[in-house]
Amino acid sequence: MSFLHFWAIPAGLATLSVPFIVHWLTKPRPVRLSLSTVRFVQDIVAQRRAVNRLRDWLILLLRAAAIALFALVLARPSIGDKLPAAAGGSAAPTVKVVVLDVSQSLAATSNGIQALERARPIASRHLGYQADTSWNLILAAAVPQPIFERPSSNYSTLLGEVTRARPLPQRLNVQAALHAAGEMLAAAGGDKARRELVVVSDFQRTNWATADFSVLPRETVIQLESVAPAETPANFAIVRVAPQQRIERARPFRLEVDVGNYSPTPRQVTLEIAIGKESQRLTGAATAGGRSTLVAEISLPAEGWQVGEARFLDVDDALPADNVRSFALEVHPQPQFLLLTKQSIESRPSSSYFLERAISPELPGEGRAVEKVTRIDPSRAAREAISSADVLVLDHPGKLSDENLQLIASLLHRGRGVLYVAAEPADATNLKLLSRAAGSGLQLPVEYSPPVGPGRKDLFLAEVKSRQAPFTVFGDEAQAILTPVRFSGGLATRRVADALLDDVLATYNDQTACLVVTACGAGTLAILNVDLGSSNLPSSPAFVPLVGELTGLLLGQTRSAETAASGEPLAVYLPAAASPVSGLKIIPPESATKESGTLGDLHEEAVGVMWQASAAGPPGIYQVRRETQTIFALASAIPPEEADLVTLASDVMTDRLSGGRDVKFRSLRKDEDPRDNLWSWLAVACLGCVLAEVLSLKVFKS
Amino acid sequence: MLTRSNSRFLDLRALGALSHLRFTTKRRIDGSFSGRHRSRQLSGSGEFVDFREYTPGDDLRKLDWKVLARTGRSYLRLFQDETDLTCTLTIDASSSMRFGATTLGKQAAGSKLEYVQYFSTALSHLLAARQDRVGLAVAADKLRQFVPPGCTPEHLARVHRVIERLATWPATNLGLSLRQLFTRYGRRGVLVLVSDFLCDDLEDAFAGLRLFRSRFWEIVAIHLVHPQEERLPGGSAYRFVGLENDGEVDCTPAEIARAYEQRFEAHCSVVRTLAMATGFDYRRVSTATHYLDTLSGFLAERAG
Repeated sequence: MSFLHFWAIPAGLATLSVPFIVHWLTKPRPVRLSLSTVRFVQDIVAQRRAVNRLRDWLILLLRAAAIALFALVLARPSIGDKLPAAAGGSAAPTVKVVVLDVSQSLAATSNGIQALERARPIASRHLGYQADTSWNLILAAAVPQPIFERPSSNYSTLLGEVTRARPLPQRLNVQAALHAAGEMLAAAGGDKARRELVVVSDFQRTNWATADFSVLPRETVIQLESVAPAETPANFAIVRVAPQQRIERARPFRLEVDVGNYSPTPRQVTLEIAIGKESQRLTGAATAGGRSTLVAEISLPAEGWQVGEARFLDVDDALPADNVRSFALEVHPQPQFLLLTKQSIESRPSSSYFLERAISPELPGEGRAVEKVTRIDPSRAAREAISSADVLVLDHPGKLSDENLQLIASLLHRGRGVLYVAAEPADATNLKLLSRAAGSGLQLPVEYSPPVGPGRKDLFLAEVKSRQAPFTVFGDEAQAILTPVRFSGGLATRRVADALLDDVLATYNDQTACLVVTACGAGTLAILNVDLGSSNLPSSPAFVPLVGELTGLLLGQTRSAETAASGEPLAVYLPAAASPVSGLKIIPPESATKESGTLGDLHEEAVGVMWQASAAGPPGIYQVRRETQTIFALASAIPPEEADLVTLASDVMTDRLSGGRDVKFRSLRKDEDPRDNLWSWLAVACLGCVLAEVLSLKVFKS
Repeated sequence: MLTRSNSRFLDLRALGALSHLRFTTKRRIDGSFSGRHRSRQLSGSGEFVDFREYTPGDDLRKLDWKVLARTGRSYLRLFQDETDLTCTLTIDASSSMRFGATTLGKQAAGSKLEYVQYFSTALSHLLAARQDRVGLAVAADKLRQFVPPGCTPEHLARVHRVIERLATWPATNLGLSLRQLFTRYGRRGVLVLVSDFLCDDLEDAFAGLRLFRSRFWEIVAIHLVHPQEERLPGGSAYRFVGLENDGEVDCTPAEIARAYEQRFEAHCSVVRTLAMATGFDYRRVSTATHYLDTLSGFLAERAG
């Protein structure tokens, strides 16, 4: 048996003397009085003496018992708290590592008490002095932070750290914490040392479901102390704010706000979205136990980075920190298309002409914004011209130079879209070299090669993934629209083993790929395997929508919002305009303090400027500026995993995740740990003693 | 009647209001001298009461010659003699009689003893005023004092002096005292016993009284009770000390009040039952009642 508040035991023992003192002090001091009938009094008193003595002792004992029980209630005893003895015996030194979860979910309040406040006394109890024991404390969040390098006997410092611990706006990296603890336990003590690991956490399902205790030394005794409240508190969170597509100046766009409702009941929520000086209210239903997406239609008049904030207006939940979320949006100008082709602008009709017209089907007019397509010969294309384009369209480019291929590959990595219309044998070489230049980031599902034998003619689409972009634009009519289209030209394809065939969106009747859309770093590469000049596709009503959807798909990959998880390692390429690195300065949010850690470094790499930090700072907007101009903005936010406060069942921890280790689980929940109910029974017994005393006084008519 | 008593317990002015009352007996008594009480003797010097047929040996002086002449039958004329009363006041002088004293010392103001002193002085004065003879016996662990009956002013002054100087003894043995008193008398009379009857052996006390009764004494038992005996005082705790070396006891009166009252009433009931069963005249007197009221009521009731 152990006691949560051991001080109550000596205090109770001292107080135990109070009823005896009171009994002695209140013992009647009789007034001496002569009485002629004293013999009658003697007779009566002799009859009642036994009863009175019984009453006095009974009341005295009941009072003493009530005080003793009250002291025990304050002490909060619990049976079976001691960790089981290790095989090494009691004489062996003990190494004890306490992992204290300080992730964001520990800031959740239940009945007005923060989870970390419940965790503090538990952790302190395990850091109490014991002979031949060395301790260490690991404050676990995104990165585990051991207080000492190795276990130490300086437990008072560890207790101080427990007192100073605060919840961090980070998720809990369970496995990192277990690894750190495992290494510490393995290195400390000796072969005969008794090793104990104590984890004080709320054991969120989202974090702990993948925990694996097998990384700990086999003989480690593991005690899991859950501080999760008896009932999972309801929590609402804004888990994502992102635009649906690329944001362009003065063009309405849809901003998606994902709302997490981690409660058993659906609810109507109202949010306020503020961007710059604009604000908009958004109301919608948040379904129970999951995420709901609310969409706001917004138009931003100015280009550049815009920062904003989404916050709940009518939510009062367990974790207020995730009720607000900052975001940064980049408002782009009209997209720039660069058509790399060797075909002359005068040669009409031609494949490149069809493409140009499909990308920009309307002529510029008053008050009408149209896409700008720049046609350029790849051999004369300047690096800056290629880098400044939003989407690269390659059609009959001929043999591309290595420099251009390297540039295209790096742009792909940095989020640009590339539409490659493969029609010539040189394209097969270009694609092979591009794949090589892009490295492992580009995994084409098919391999392109020049066609062998008779030319490719009158091909038609045998298989179309009509449920995916760009074919979704046709809806149920996709088959009817695309069946009459006949394709000619293009390259032969051969499927790559172990490649992701889902990237092949359309296949010809000869089983060669028609359309491949695959990701490459942050960008997307779309390969349309057809010679538009010899096909009837350009004259088909499907052509313009198809190209429009494809370019939209490629532009959509251009990042318009950047979000980093607070506390997680950060590595992000800045836009091309960020080069050179000199003169750039990272501006943290006003709420960030010096204790928040470093802001990271900016350094120049081959493909641009990279912002790298060991851990993203606390939630807020971080801006990279050159003088007063914002080059880049990044929103740091609480990881959404921390919003779901549902805990993992104890048997999962002790059985499935234990990795063969001896895992003991103790919880504040009544159904999981009946041992901690002892204090309530003691309280009932204390009340019973008081009632019994009152009843005795009534019965004895005192 | 001239009195030579200067007892502080004698209030002649107050007793003047009771001068018309006289102590009467329910039975005929034996007396030494002529008095105002009916004698057991029906002789020829008193008031005619009846005829009785002559039997040989009767005094021929009482023969009614006129009836004999008219009827030829011999009858005697009977006359009621009147004689004086011999009353012995027996006072219980045990320590329990000092209960209720508000002062220390011999005065015992407010006690049962003081009440007895007033009562006995007044009664003896009234008896002597009617030419009745008054005796005094002081009973404690034994018969402590005895004043033979008499009716002279000097005798009365002596009785009053003894009453005035009455002391108490820390033990009671009413039975022995009464038996010792019984041996002092050869003739019947009236025994007035004033006591609280708080003694160890009540049966023995009444056995002593029954001795007198067997010799046709008229016995008046005056049971003296103090109001503070009837109900225990209020308060949280007392150490009650006995007055007759019967120890002490600690208790909280509130706890035993009801039981005590029942016990005391039971005691009074036993005394009354024993007295009435033996044919005594029993009176329960509270010291809360003024002694003159008690005395006037007592005499008036006996007078019928």
